[in-house]
Amino acid sequence: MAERERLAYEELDRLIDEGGPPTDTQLAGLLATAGSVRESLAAPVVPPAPSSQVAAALAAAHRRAVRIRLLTLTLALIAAVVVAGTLGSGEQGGKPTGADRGQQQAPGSSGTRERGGSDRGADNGHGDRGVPQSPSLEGYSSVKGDVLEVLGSDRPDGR
Amino acid sequence: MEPPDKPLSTALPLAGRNAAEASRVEPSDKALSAEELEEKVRRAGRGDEQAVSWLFETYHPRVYRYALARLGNPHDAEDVAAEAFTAVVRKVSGFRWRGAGFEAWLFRIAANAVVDRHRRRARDPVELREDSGFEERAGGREPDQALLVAEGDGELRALLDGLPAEQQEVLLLRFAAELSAAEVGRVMSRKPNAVRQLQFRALESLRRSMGEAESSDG
Repeated sequence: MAERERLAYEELDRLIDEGGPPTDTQLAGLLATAGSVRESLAAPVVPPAPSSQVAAALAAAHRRAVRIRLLTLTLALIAAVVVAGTLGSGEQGGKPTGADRGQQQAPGSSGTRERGGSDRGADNGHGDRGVPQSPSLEGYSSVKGDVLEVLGSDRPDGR
Repeated sequence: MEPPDKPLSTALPLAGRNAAEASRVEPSDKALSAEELEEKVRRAGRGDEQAVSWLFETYHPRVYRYALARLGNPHDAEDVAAEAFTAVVRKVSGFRWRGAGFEAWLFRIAANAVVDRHRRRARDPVELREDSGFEERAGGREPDQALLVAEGDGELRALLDGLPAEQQEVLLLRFAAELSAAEVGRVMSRKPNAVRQLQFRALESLRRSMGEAESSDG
């Protein structure tokens, strides 16, 4: 767009937002039209009181927040139990060897690798995330699923 | 992050409106900084009921006015505003401050709710429109004055309806939703300068049409 036109668009926009004397008759006319449009569209409309639907949504939002806090707390407790269990069984089990270096052992594994485990190959202790093998980790996975379900797949694009 | 849009000032000529009326439509977030708004939205996302209420009280009137302007029916507008806020409350915890501001996000939700309502209307053509929002817009005026307002509104409404869809949307988001050109751009996925251009052309077109209508009446 031409520079002169661009300046006119910006000037009109500024006058609409900030006011002030228009620099020419064209802008004055457009500003008056904008005034009429605004008067019509933003006239003193008094919106109705919140509907029961919105009130219910507000209450639901609060309940949801409480539920998330409870789930988070549960998750933290389970994680603490799992870690404590791992440390306990680690003391009884054998010493991790080879590619297991740095990999956290599942409880009850007694220091041996289970088939299909996550630490295949020379991963220098990082390993892949495998499927939890022990009952306690399955419980963790289930709670995590609940949390993800509660958090849902909301996206910020409004769709 | 860009600051939230600056509220539309009341510096615009407001023929026929007194100061009390003008003050009634001023947005309540006028003095809110970008950081304060962000904090409110964060708290709402964490389920803070007070923050959610604040968002509702601040933005509901603007969403309602925008929906009323697009749908022309207060009952539909009420439903759409409620639907939009239900969605906002449900999704606000997932909202992230990535470029687009909260208001653009909110009004995109409202615009989608309006589109859904139009679709529903198309599917259900027997739905009755009991009134056109005349009483809403005439609120508090003397009957004679209210009638003039309604007639003027009707003419302007018809002229607005005759504008291309994008120009119409820019004016509704600017003047009913009270968004800045930058925020309108975010809602419509257009650059602010493109919005200013659409605004200029829309107002020019309206001005010409209003002039023609006046000369044909005279």
